[in-house]
Amino acid sequence: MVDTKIYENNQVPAWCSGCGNFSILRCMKQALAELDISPDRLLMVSGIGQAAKAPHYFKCNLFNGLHGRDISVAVGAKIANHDLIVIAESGDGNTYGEGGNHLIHNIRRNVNIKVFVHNNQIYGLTKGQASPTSDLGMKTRVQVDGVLSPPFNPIAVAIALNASFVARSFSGDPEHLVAMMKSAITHKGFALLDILQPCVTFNRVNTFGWYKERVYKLDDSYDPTNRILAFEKALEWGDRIPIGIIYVNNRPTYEEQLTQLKDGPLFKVPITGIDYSDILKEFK
Amino acid sequence: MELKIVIGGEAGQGIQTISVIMSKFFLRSGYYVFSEQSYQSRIRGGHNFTQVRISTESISSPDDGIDILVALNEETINLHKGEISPNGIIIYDNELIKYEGLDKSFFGVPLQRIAVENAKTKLAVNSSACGVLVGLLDGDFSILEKLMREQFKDPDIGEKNVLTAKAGYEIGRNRKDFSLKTPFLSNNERLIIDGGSAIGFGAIVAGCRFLSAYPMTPGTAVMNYLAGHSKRYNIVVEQAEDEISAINMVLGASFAGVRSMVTTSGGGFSLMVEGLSLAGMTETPCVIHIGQRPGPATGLPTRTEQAELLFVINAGHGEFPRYVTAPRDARDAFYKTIKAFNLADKYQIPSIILTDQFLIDSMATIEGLELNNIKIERYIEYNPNKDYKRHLITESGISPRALPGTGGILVVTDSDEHDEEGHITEDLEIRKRLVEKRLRRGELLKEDIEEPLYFGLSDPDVILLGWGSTYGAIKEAIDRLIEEDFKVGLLHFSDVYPLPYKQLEKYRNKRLISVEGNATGQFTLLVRRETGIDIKDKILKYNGRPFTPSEIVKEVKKIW
Repeated sequence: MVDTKIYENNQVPAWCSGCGNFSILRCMKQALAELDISPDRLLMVSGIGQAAKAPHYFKCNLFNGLHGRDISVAVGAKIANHDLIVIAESGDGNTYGEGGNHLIHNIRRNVNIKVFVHNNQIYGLTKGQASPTSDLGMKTRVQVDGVLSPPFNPIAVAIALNASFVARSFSGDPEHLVAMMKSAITHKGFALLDILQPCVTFNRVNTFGWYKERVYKLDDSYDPTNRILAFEKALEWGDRIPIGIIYVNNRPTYEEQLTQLKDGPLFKVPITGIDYSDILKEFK
Repeated sequence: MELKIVIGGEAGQGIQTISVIMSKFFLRSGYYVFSEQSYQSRIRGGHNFTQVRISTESISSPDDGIDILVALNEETINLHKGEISPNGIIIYDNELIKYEGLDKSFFGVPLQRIAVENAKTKLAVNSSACGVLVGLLDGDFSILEKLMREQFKDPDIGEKNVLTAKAGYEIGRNRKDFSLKTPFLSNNERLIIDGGSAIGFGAIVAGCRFLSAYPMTPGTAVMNYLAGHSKRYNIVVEQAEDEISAINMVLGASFAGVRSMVTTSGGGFSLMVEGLSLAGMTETPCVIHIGQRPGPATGLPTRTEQAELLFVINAGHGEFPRYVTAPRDARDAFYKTIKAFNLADKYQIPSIILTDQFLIDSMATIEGLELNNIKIERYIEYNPNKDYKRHLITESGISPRALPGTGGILVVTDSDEHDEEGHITEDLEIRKRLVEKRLRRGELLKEDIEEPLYFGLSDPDVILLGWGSTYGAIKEAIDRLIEEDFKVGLLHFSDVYPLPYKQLEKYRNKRLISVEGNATGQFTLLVRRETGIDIKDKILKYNGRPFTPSEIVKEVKKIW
């Protein structure tokens, strides 16, 4: 294991004090250190939102792109260089709202990237509107009658799409979160990690205490390869919220299925000195 | 010597097959060929037709008039009969089409029966039609035979189609009164290529190894082409869930070091525009091919237009440089595609190849492509300094480009305003310096822009202006006008943005007429914005069909 100090940089987080993001950031460094991943082998991709700023605050390669489009950038980069460890990190608005279509289709595509979602059930950066995961009835400046649409269930959706790896953790349980991050990173295939996290400024309902009372860890007797059981766990939300690896389905990755990527990363394939006389014949 | 053949019928009857085989037949017989397709947005039925125009002189556009009409249904006869030239002929299936009002131009051949008798399938009607055409024109059957055997990978099916074609050929040959025979010319190194394949081939030669796109006519042709060659040349082609994803995937792949492109049409590009701006901010090279079709919105999906020029030049929020090229023909499209990739890498900008359905779908004879002198320049630092900064402020504005995962350094970029390292910043002094750095590249880019081609008399009274795929039709119109003693020239633009202005300055006091495939004269607006030159005369076409030389001649005479 390397020292977490190798990830330190001089950037100063723009988050509120007490924000769950700080814990997630510390856990990220811890998980990377325990896996001996040096910063130059890691490509973080993020979208927009308070969570999406996280990769600025530790050493890594980084493409901080548009709101909701980070998964697409991550997939493109992984196809170009599958030697990179590629993690997309953003929030619930970014990944479950704006980027919903990309989440759906990249779960299907199963490129070996990791998607870490800071899920605080609220929009922070734009100051307190409902997010796709906000509970029914939550009142905000915009949702004046309370949230009318039932929340998006990322875990159930991912299982329905036969995702390769689906897990949930909680920023208030660093030990668990580090373990989940490590499992996601070492899993071969697309991995979705939903991280429950309080927003101390805008979400007065789903507070640290609210989560703390409800989350419970799945124990060793739970079989994450059983899709029916996984659905049951995915639907559990209320007085008790399960955290842990909820579903695993070891299916071939996108990269494994392409002969074009068999001889090494695509960006290293020579593009000069190639004989194109075969193609010229097509036009005669 | 010139000949125009039109093949018409319903979608699904194999019109395109006949067109491709006959185009190659004429190429191999030594002719210049130009084939243009007019099809409807449907898979079966409707009225589709293709014109195969051949000449002993170089041609690069369709033209009005028909010498031979191959009618696969009655509607084709009704729609095109009026265009048949005095010595023209209509080949039709006299056992399937009972046409009232036959005259000497009708040549009934039992096309379907020949197919069924020889190939045991109605599908081989393409081959009987090709045979009849070659016989009628006194062509060399062995060329057709070889083409048929190449076309059908299964030797048995190939043989059946050769038999079918031969039977058609014998019938065609016996029609002695037809005067437009085509003598065999010496063969040569010329190629026949459609615009979509020219761009696809250019992309492969340029080293493009990743393409992501969402299917949209006519841009899809380039995706199909690369997918067809993906195994042989190690190209990953990924059909995205939407155009937004396509452009973002391409930016990810390019950031990680692979030459990458998207292909789409105006509607798809509309969805990509935020991604275009992201390319501008993160200085990530990318190539965007846009095959224009008539808009707004879904418009006419399978027709042609040149109405995205101003949109493409102005697309994207914020200010950043870009290169826009509108190839004038298939050959130009091949080379400009390579140039687009090289300039994208050189200046770390988006390069846009702006074509249209007409260029994408038309097949044209071109002189052989020179592949040996092509330069592929990546401008990538594989051994960067330890204190590497992705957005280092330099005099040229170009920051050294390194790749994540190579050289032991970190590559950081951000769609937010960022510092030289690439980290998010709200330091307004840095903001100002980064804006200026990004824009300086646009000034340098101007040095790589090609001036328009001038064609015609050295001291003209009137100059026609054109851009993109209209080149062939306008050039031929100029030839004819000069023959009729009109003092006229053509200034034709392929690179359109940044707008090359030296030639425009030279001719600014001449009478200029803009010829464009849109309703508002977009190029005149661009010229006025960039040079202050006010072009009052315009010949505009926006019914979804390409220009022909004949109509341009007519319109010029009206204005003159």
